[in-house]
Amino acid sequence: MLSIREVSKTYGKRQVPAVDNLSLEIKEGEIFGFIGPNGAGKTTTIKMLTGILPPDKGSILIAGVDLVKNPVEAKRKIGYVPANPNIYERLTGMEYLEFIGDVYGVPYAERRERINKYMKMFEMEFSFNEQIRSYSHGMRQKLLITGALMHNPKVWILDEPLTGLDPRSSFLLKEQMKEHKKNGNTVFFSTHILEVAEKLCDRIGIIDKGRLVLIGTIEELKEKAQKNSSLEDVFMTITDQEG
Amino acid sequence: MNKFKKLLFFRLKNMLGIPQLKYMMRNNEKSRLYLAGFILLYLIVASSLLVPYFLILNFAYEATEIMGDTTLFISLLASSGQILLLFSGILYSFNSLYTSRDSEFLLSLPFPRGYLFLTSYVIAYIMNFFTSLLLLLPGLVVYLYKAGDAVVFVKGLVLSILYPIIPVSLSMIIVIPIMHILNRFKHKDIVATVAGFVLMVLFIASNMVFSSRMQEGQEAEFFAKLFSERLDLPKLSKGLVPYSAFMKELMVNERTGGIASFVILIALSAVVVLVTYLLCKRLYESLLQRAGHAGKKEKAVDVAVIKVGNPRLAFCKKELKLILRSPVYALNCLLNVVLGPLAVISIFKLSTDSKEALALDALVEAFRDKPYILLYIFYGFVMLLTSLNLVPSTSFSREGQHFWLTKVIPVPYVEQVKGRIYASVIFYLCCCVTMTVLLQFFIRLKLVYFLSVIVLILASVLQITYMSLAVDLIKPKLHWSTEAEAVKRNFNAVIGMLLSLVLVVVNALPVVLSIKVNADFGIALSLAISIAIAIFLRNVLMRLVNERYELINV
Repeated sequence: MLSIREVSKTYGKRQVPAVDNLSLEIKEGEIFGFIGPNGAGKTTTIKMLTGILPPDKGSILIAGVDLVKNPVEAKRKIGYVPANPNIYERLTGMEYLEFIGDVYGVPYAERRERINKYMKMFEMEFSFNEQIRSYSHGMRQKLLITGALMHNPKVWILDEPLTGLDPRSSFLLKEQMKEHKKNGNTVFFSTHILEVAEKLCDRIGIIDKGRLVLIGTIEELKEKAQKNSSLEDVFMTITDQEG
Repeated sequence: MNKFKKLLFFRLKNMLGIPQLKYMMRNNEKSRLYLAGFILLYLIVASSLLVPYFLILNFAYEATEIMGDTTLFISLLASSGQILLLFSGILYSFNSLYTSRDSEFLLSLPFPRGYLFLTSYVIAYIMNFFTSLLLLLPGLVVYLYKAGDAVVFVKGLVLSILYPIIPVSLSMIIVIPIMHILNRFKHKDIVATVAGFVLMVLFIASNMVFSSRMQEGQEAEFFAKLFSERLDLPKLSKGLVPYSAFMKELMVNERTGGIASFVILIALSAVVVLVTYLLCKRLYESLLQRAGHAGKKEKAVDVAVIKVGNPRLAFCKKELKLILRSPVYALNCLLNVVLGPLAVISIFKLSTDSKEALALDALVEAFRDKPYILLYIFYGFVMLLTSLNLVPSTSFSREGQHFWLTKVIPVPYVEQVKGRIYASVIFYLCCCVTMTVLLQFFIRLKLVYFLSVIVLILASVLQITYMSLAVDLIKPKLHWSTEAEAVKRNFNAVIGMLLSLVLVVVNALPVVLSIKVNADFGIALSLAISIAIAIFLRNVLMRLVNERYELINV
């Protein structure tokens, strides 16, 4: 479903690449957690996966469509929730969703059904009529999640999605990720909350200094790192070794 | 006190954009050149404003000479300056209290609560002090030059420190209750935009009425008549700004009366500052606590009213909404929509008695048998004001940190740009359609020439739109913290306006060159060339789109 092949990215004239020869295959119906220290290359990878940044080399296939060669078709299959919920502050939540619905070409009935569903789920019935600039960080995040799921994407990409969410919304988001997976779709998300990654993900990838240093199920990671405790221990061991 | 000083300098530096300037100075050669260009442009604009101001002051001084009392000039300077400073004070107060985005963050820091209001107050004073220098200094220079009184000049400089205190204090007392009222409105930005437009129209209209009544070569007499008969300047000064009498005394009186006035002014300023502080501090704090909560009538969303549209129109609608909802965008981007029609009306209608209007009528009549010249007067008039539009030249810059969204959505970049083109053309048409209708009413071109000018205007609007969008796409200013930085302090806006004027000249060139051969042929050639340029610029823009979008990284 999501295929990253030997992708690299270097910013400007820097010597060290932000992402170095990264290869990943993520299957249909899988929740994949992407973890790593600050500045490891998580957000750069996600920006390349969503078409915000072009890779210097390598290829990215979204549900079989090459993101570089056929970006519009590939982006149709992606739903993206960024880490910083910067959106048009002077639009109302509803206007933002109408805009997203229009640009993804979501039919009226589906649009209505999904907005209704997430609006009620996130208890935003009264907020969607307000301008986004009056929203809290968590409310913006909920709006972005609603927008990202409006067209029922094949691949749902989230960058630090749990930041700023209240416990109830956080729980609902995790449930939503599971439901998305159950429907045969793929979820790719980055996080610093290792407990969440441990409980939610089918597989986890650890990135450090732009390189994928470990990948597998939680059991495989423990085995590879020769640790039999938590993901936190595995993470500390692997990133210490790399350091 | 040390903490207060630190907070004040921190806020002042940020407000003046000093860290950004330092960064640009330290950065590469290109940034320094950019900065130098920007400073040069500011100097040109400032000098273009200062020259007419000096002239008006000169006429006003001569008027007081005719009236036989040049100290009236000092009264005029003191009182009118105070009124102007009250208006600028309102803007600065509004800026430092209402639009500053740091209030919430600063409230959380371990400063005494009153510091936030007090620093805003001092910042508004400092900004108004610079404005007062701009208002006072030319007046003092004129007085020094005409009356040869250096003592008045020096006293004026001393007075400039006290001069902005009372207007700033009054503006604080006015602004804070207005902010309380605005806070009750759900759509306070719309209220601010409408109020801004009303003020702008009033200002332009009064300026036009004023200038239409002033005859060339008789300005001093006009002012003398205005001061003595219509306004009764001495009475009016005392009536509107009672304490201006002390300012005049301080400047003109060389004996104890001057010193006494100075002491009275200091005492009066101190009392006003104290009263303002005590009155406004509490009100401001309660306003900050209530901000974002008041006046909201909650209404649940009705999903049945969801609208469906196509991506291109979605982009266009988004652009229109964002511009109209932001007072900064609306007032800066739509200036010409107000200015254009007003300029036509004022020149052709309001000033029917003036020499210029009569000359213009005579000019139109003289060229009746040379309609191609009328056609280009018509065209030039419409396009000069239409090209002031900043909508396309800041289109990508206005996206700022939201730009990521345009790269994530599955809409080809070219389609997105077409949506932006629609929005820009709509705003251009708002200006030039009203101007065209009004000008046709006054100039009455023959149908064939009228249709030609319409085609020419439409082709020029498209040219300017494509070119301005290309300018902004090449180097959009995406890193900004206030909306004003995206439009007013954006070099692309200036480049867009200058290149638009160049295009207007290029469009008119064929007819000028072929007048002697065949003017009608020149018009046809002009139309063909302008359409060809529009098509060429469209192709250039569309070619640029994919390449430049890829390079933009947020």
